[in-house]
Amino acid sequence: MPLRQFIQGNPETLSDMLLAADDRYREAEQLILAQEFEGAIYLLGYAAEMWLKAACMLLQGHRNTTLVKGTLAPIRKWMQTVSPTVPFTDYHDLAFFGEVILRLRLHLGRPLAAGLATDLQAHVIRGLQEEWIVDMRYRRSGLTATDAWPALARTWWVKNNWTNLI
Amino acid sequence: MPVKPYNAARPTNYDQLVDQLELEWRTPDPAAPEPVILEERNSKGEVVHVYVVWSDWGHLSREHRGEVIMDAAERVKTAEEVLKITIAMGLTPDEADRFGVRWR
Repeated sequence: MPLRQFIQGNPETLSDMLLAADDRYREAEQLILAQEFEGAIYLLGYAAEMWLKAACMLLQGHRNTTLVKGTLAPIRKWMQTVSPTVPFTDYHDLAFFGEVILRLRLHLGRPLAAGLATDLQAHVIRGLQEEWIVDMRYRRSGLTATDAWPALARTWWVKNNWTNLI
Repeated sequence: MPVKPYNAARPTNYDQLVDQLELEWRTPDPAAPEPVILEERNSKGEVVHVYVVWSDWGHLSREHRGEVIMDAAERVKTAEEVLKITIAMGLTPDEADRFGVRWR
């Protein structure tokens, strides 16, 4: 079956997204080893985005079979109501999803431990947010190893800690 | 020259779709075939998932369809009720059939 037909006929679930996050991260590592830094950073941002979205979904009580795209507008509306000052660029906004996690944990009466919250802010809300943007896909930005290694380290943190954010 | 609001990020008929959905939600017309609004409740009887089947938004992304649903929900439900909604899924009739949604 052609890819377009398959994707449109099978909307991605939380479970699909987690598999994809692992794949994109692994591919990014290979690109760094091949010194293809721009592509690597592009994939790292997507991997981080998927893990952050997964944490948001699980905090909202969704299951592995929940369709991802049905959950995004409710998350945005929830934040508009609960924390209207948090900026929202689009559904690839890493800082936004980091803030959602902080606020959902607070809302659930289980605020993130100080160390974890500080790390989330450092690695995602101030870190990857500044180092990655989905719109990088349409340009050649001349990124180097100096850009790629910190992005890898921050995304590695997300990969290893996203379950602790739930 | 009049000054008009312009939001490039949203489809041109976005507001019109929200208005139509709000109207259907407030005053359901049994004779109208669409949009069909399906509300799924949790064990406490609260609406937590909303699925809307509608031909008119085939051109919209799934994210935009979700936003239309949430904006309409905000007009017909209390703030507390809106915060309980965690899934807002907009489908066309074809998609709903393909995904096995019982909506007819």
